[in-house]
Amino acid sequence: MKIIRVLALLLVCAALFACVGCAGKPAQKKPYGATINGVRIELDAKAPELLVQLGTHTSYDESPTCAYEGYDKVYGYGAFEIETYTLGGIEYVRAIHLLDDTQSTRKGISVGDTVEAVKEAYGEPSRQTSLGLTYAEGDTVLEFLVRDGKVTNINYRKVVD
Amino acid sequence: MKKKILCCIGIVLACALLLSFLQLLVVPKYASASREGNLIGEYYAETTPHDVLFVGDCEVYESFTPPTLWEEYGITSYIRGSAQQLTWHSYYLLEEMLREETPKAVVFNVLALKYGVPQSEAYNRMTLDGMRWSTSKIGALRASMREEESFLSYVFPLLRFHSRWKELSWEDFEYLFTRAKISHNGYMMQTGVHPKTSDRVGDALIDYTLPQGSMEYLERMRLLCEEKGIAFILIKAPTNNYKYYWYDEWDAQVREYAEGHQLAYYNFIPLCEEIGIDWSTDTYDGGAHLNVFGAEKLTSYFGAILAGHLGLEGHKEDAALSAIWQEKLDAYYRERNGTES
Repeated sequence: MKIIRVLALLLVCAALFACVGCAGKPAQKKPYGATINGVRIELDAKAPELLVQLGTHTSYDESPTCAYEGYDKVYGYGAFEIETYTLGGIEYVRAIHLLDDTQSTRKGISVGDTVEAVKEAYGEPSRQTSLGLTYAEGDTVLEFLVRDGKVTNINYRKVVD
Repeated sequence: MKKKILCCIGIVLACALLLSFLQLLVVPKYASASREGNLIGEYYAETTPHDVLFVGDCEVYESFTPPTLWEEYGITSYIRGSAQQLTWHSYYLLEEMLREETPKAVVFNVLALKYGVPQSEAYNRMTLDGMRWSTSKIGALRASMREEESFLSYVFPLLRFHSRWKELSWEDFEYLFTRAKISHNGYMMQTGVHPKTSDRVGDALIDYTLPQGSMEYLERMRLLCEEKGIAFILIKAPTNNYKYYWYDEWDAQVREYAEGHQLAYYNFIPLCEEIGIDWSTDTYDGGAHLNVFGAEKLTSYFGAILAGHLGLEGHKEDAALSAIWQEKLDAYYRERNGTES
């Protein structure tokens, strides 16, 4: 009888032990994303269908990752670029770059707008330097690159490589 | 009573053995995919000390070939590098190695300075799981773990990888107790050719200041070397694609740091022509990393610096050491020339 109790205790300990390893994943905040030509694109979203909806790209670059299979890719469309990474054979969105004033953020900021307009729309940034402003949301950021007080590039990207 | 105690001990031991076996079975073996995960552990098979230790990311284990350094200069070396090896990883690996040996020079590739915080559990695992347990490993874990990682899961990887039972393959049984040898003293050979075609540069940043976190560990590496009278050399591999881009602003900060501490710093990016690197033949992945042909050219060039400017002497007159390195050279050329059985 005691042996059964010992075994039961061991099993309970093992189960608790396993739970320690599984627990602790922080809740993810909603990632940043942009709407381009009517297509809603969020960081970490599956890319293939979105890329089809965006149409034919006009430029393309790729880079291998250090160790994992597959390439990181950059699809250029003139006014914007979509960066992707590959995981388990599927491409996901890593970054979105808005390059001119034909595209704007959800809150209406475009390339050429002033720093004041950015702050009015988004509030105080998580970080500001002489070269731009950053707004963080979970593992993603929205960056406004600035020159002479005006936005030159808008980047949505994941914080980690 | 005695019988019952022995029975309980037996049950506990049987459970421990079973869990140990399961752990060995489910941990990733890095045999056919992400082979870089086996690099760190291979160092422990070394039997002789080294003149030069390289530490850093893929830009060291894909750019320098220790067998070439021996063949041309008689210099012994080892590369302790892994995929996306961060500066604190390199520090703790160096701390661990310097307990066992005192090289004449330590070479650190500076690209990793761009990362101020841990990036991913997968890369952490590929570096840290291969380290033997020591205070250095514990320090490395504390410095490296992301919010979602737990220390306990590194002590007992079964906690992390128990769900892998669904994807077990023959490799998991084949490499249950051993690992496939994948490097030549830490150099991971690539013989393919995929020319560089893109000249895309890195994206503009809002801040070019190298993170304080990584710079602190650079300083700790420097102090570790200074304490033991080891030359600490900074290098930047000649590769410079858009994703792993080395900005001029970063270069200026590293140069200033090196000058401030009288360290040698070699940025090989502007020296590609002088080194003889041909981006149509010397890269296997479009310019992100060198292949073996490019790595041999760079090693040859850097060997002259080590032997000339830094005065490192070769050991080819040492018969015992020569015999060990001849074996390494033979294995190197078998893989390079595709004559492995």
